[in-house]
Amino acid sequence: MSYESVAGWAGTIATVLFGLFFLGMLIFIFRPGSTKTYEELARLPLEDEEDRERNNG
Amino acid sequence: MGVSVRLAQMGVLGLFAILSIIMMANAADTNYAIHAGIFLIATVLGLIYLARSAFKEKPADEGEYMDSVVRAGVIATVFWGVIGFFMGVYVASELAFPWLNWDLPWTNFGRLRPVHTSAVIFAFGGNALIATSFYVVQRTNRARLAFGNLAWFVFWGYQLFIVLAATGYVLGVTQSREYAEPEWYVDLWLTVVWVAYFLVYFGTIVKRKVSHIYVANWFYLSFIVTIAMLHIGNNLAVPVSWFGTKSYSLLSGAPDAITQWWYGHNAVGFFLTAGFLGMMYYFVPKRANRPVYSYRLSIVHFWALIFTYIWAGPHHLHYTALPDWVQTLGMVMSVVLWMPSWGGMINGLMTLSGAWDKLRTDPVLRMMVIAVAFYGMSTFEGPMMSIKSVNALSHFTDWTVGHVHSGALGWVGMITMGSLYYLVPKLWNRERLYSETLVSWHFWLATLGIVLYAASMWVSGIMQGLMWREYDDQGFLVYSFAETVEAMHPYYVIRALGGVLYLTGGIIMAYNFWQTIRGRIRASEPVLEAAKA
Amino acid sequence: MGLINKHDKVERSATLLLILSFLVVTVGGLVEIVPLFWLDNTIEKVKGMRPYTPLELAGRNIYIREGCYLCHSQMIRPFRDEVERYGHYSLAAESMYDHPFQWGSKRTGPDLARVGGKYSDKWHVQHLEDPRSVVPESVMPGYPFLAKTELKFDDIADHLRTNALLGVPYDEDMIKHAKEDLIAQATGENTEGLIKRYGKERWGSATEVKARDFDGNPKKITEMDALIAYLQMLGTLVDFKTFDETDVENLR
Repeated sequence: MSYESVAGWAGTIATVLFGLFFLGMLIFIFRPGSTKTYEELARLPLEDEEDRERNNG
Repeated sequence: MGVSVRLAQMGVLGLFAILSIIMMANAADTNYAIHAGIFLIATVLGLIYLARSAFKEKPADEGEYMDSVVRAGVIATVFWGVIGFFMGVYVASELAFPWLNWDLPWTNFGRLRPVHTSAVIFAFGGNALIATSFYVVQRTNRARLAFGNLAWFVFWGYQLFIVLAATGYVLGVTQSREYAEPEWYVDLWLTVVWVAYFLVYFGTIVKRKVSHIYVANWFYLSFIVTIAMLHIGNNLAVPVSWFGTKSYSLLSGAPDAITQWWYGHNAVGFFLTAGFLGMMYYFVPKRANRPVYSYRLSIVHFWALIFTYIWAGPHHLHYTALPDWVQTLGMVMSVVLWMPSWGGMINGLMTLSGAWDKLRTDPVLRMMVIAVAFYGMSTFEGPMMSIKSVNALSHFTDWTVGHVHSGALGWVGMITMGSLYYLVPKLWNRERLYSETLVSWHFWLATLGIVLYAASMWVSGIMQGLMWREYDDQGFLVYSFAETVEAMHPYYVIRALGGVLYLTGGIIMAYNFWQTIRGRIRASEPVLEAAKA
Repeated sequence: MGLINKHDKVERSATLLLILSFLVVTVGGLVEIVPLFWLDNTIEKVKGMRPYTPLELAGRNIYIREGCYLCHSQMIRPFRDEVERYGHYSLAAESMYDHPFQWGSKRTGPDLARVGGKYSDKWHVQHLEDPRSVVPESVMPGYPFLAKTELKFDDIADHLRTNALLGVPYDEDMIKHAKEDLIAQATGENTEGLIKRYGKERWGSATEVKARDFDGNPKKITEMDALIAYLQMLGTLVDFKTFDETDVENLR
């Protein structure tokens, strides 16, 4: 295992892995129907006090 | 909680007590005996508490959040914060005025510097993360903390870890791994505590009553899991004796160096960034009373950030004896890291869009926003410093120290203190803080302190880097090393002054909380809308 | 789009989120760290590296205990000014027996990778006891207690054995004689065994093991003896006459 070959493929593997990962993530978050889910989710922390605000535990 | 569970808990603590007696009796060195003694005292106190409360405790109401442990965590955060800031001022002053080392082993810079770094990162930052994560995970999942009083074990076990670590440094017990200095047996204890922390946190998510997991929990969870991985990976060592403090690291030389900085940089990435981003994604929307700017962006932020950060460690080892391809890979990934970081910053800042006017009236929100701004600044500076040619100048100088502090004081400190200002009135059921004016004072003192700190370290760092490499026209080095040290003096004084301002802000905060908890409200202060919200 | 809709699960399943995020954070470490263990080129082939003598190892532990690495690096980068100031740039081979490494991250004081032999023992004693008496600009703490504290070395053989377990080439002979080798080096008396076990003849080092009373106090073996013995050997082992940096084998 020479230095040159490792230096070559380590960088390439890293780039490919990252590219695939990023692409997968983008497809995932733009899946149909996600907008509504995400809007609801974004409001989640804001709605946690109306229904129960007790802190005596 | 049943009596049988209590008895089982007491049994476990009893075993720990017996273990510490055995450790003490066989100790090969004094420091080990001292630590076994501290451990014994802690377990005995735990036993006494459990025994006293075993029969009078009423079963917990699952419909109620467990906030007592969060309150304890908030107090611990403020307590350790003030101590950590003070230690920072002290070691900074030692560099400006070396007589402050007193020629003693326990007070020299080499032993006190880890006390400062561990106190601010693990004691202040760690307690803030544990406390806020327990608060956030209950509210965003609508569930009480899992596993009964295990959360209390996490809290006290973590304080014990801090005491063992700090006393160890002063006594000279250290592995010399930056930000992972505690020796093998303290590392083992932290592992036990951390597993318990994971169980409580993850268990609470599992029993949640909402369908989705809010993104703040993602950041907290990845912080907990990744720190576990890093902690174990970086602390692999073989003790010389089971009854002595000293151990030798499993790895040596270059592989040891990359492992340490894989840990070291991700202590920044996951302890000081991911965890505190969890804080940002909950407390900024709460305080601004607006949903996060883009939930989609927060997901991109999460995955891109955790994937990229883990690669960045080698930028601490540019031009060293580490193989070149690792350095280059680390540099490229560090530059890439700029993108997700700024995605997160934009997401945090834009959460205020349409509500910018609140910044004028609410000093707490102002604190949170400047924290996010400092996050943006540090995450621009960091990738820049990881470029090899810049690093050639900046490495080994105060520039690095300044960079760390604009992140630590600006981002970590400010987002924590902003969140605490939000939390304290809520946790103690107070209408508002004792004084908003004092929050403003704190804000300005801290900001000015950071400016003094960062600016003086930029100047001293770049200046020293340039002096080291300056040649005259005859081809000789212009400055001896000692001359470059002498040139640092005024900047070390300014830096210490910046630290004093930041510490003063911290003390004002502690006072403000003390009065708030006592139920006082400072007379003659206008009540702000934001404070009542 | 059925498959894509299922991805929603990541946001709803805690376990899936846990596993996925753990996988994501492991990749970088695996790619950057694991190859170093079986790549021939991580550590150069050089002559002269030997394990620390028992006294140097004890001195190194004092260096670690006092946190010297927080202000002093042991890593000379391949720049003209650094090579001129400190000496030949550091090789990975030079720290291959360092458990843990001491490369450092900050130079509040100068690099120490090749400080060995640059100053006299006497200078070191004076400098460690009162740094500003020899370097007026220095901000280093004073360590006068080192010369007053007797070195504890009853368990030094265990330290060697632990290092041997981790791959440092200490043999049985070295472990057996650890204590007497330590005394021999700190006093400069009866050094034949020490030289036989750690000397340049055996390891091909550039310089011979230095054995003498380092702290100027022949009455006792102190922590000062050990620390100075360690400082005086730093960077003096590799015989750079045998190191060819242009050799492909040595490219990093």
